[in-house]
Amino acid sequence: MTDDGGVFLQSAGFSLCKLDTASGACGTVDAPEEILLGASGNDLLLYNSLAPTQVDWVHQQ
Amino acid sequence: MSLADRLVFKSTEFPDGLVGVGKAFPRMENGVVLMHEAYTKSAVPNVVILPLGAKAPISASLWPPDSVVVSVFDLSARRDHTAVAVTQAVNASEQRAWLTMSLDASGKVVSQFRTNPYAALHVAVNDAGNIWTLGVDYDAKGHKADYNILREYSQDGRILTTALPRSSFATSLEPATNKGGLTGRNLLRAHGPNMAAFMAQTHEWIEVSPAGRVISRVKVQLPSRAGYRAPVRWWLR
Repeated sequence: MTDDGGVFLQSAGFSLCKLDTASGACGTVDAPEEILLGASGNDLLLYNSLAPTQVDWVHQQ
Repeated sequence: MSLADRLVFKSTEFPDGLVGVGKAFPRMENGVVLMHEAYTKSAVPNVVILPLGAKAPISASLWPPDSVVVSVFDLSARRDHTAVAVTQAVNASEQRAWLTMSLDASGKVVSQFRTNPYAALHVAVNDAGNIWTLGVDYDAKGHKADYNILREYSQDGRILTTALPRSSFATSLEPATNKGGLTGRNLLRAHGPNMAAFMAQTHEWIEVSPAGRVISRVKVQLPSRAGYRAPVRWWLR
């Protein structure tokens, strides 16, 4: 959940989609190798289990 | 929108051994990363709270008196870094207590209440203070009724709201991955002032207003399974 109301879900295969909570449509955003941990403000936080001492921040709009 | 258009703009270091293969899936919200052990057999730290930017995490031991096994199912944090955990404690006679435990910002348990026969498996809190859970009513399950329910509690354990997260007469549900199944993870999160649950079994998104009114109940159309693409981190190069 981002502060602007965005809802991101990550499915099998790591597909990352942004949910339209009115229709249920979840358009693919990307398929990063990282695992989505959450959001802070409007930025997404992802980490790679193979490099677990670092997490990366990605802007989204 | 594509994340491919966005670069990694910052990386945050994690203490070694905090996350990774074999560890509980971490959760991040309100500026803290939350982790917990699936179960412990002694009063060792079973919860870790890492405020982003802090040098060291806060550890806590959730261990009610007379327990022999404690399971921590989920953990949620507010903006002030106070947290709430949903747990199961088992005593030597194999009696179970499903406990919702509130922690202050130092990790100390400041209050708890028992929810039997309802087992809260997921929890989310917001700044309003009340505690939302997604779990199983084992009395209802015994009567083959709908048993996956959303429930809101006051901080002292009074039930304020109950909602069904799925349509009636649905077929029996496969367990989520965190319960040994293959259908993905159920989620419960604060969404602004609302509470939202994702039911992996039915791909259902249900959102409830602070007044307890269901304002969204949709079938999520997840993307088809996709292969890996380049890691986000590579985009820095």
